[in-house]
Amino acid sequence: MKFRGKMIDPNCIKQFIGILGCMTKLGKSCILRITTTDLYFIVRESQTISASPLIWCALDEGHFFSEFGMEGLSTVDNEIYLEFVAENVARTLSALKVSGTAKSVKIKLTKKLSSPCLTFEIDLPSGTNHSRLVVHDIPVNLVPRRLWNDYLEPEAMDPDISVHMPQLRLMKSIVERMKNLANMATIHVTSEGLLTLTVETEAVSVTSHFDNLHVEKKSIGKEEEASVTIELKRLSNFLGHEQLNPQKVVCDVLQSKLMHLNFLSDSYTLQYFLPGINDQ
Amino acid sequence: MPHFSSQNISVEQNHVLMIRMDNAKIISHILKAINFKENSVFCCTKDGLKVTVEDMKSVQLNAFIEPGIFQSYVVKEEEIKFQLNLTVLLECLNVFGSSGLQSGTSPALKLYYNGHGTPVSILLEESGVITDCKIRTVHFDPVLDYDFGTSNVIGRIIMSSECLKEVFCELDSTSDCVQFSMSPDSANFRITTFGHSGTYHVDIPKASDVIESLRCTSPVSFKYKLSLMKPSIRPLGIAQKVSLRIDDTGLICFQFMIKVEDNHNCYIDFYCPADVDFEEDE
Repeated sequence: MKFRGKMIDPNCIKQFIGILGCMTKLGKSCILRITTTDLYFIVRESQTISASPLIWCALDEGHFFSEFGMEGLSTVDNEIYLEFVAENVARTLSALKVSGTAKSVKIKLTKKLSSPCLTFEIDLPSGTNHSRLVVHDIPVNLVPRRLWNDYLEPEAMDPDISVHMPQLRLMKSIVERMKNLANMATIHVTSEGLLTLTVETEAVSVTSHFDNLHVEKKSIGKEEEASVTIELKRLSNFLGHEQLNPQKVVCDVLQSKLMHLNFLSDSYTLQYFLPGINDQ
Repeated sequence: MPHFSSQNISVEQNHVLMIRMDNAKIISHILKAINFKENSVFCCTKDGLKVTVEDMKSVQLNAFIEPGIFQSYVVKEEEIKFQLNLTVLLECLNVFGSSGLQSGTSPALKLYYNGHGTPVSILLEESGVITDCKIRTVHFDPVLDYDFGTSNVIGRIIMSSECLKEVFCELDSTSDCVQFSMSPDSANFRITTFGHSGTYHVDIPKASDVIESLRCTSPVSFKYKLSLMKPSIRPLGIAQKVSLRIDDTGLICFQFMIKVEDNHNCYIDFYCPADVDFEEDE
């Protein structure tokens, strides 16, 4: 198996760092899936989607990499699945951020001390004509072929209602505050484009109303509204990355079962599947 | 506010207290400084809003916000009192972000209360997003009513809070107590600590620029537990001026003047009884 990619565009590098940073904050370990056309980051806590959140990010390699080459497990299964520990990437990320604009970043699959690694070679500008190369090796595990089906692309869901997510900055702040008051919140969307977020405890109830949202989709024959109760801490973790500046964020709700957030940009999509919590 | 325009007039008539503000940050700025305990007692009269936070029936912080600070202040009874969790209230007031008083955003606020047993309702609006909160009120525990009649005051100082804040921050934390001393004969206002490494005196000359006025009818010197003084630090940090008054029992009252908008001030006062277990030294 081989993989080698080189990024030279500073915006692409910055965006890549942002996405990788987001992934490493959302779970203890992360799967990187490499195909001939895309890179995928997958974070999932347990096997079943119904039990825990799933984060799925797909990047278009053509946008990010000026040079890209990969050779998968075999000609039939021409893909690579790697697993790495989020904590190990954190140090690489701080090196990438602190160093300012790198001239180029090369990512390769290597073998160091007979263990597979994802190696980042960061070419930094320096005061003199010489280049300064910083190399980080992140140990990875190769995911065996028999487990690849655990990380299949989630099925396109058929939501009850789908709306464009409102002002993320305000929502992030609201969710941060609500997190201090309660563990769970209920999201309610209507086909009129109203989204409300509610927490209720013995001491206080707080509801935020976002109006005039663009309704992306409403399932015919189903109710005019849908709601789901989710864990605030998880929503807060995800909204912490609103500075990724997506072009569009869509929120889908499947009554009582799922809240799906989709950050859409030209070159990547980032999806968060938050399972609903049943009332006790 | 599209969703609340349908509220009918009869509901409005049930409000015994109604406050409207263009910038909720002002009230959260002041209340945050007195939030050293969760429980607070609100007392609303035609003279304004008084919020009290008390600890162990001894130290007490009171915030005063006069009606002029609000865009609208309606009180339908002579005195309206209720108790609620101040920490929860502050979370609600800061729901759109807790950046400082001077930053760009200013959420609009409407607060109303329908009387005993009902929750306090708060409506906040920013950039078209409306958040409505209902905070449970409980029957209030009576708070100490410190009465500082001017006839009992022995020593009184008005000074810059910046200077006092510097002194407080540098006080020897290994000392159990802090002592305040002044006398008609001495040229200084003296602050003393008794820590592991020794006794430290900070002397502020009466004639210095930082002291606006000092009046003292007879020598006064009292000790106060440093741990009890802690709640005064936050209001001291946001105030422009502070006045200190000590009465003949050693009760000290700090009054902090906080500028909130161009020509408006809010006040916070802090009461702390003297530590009487110690023998007073000279």
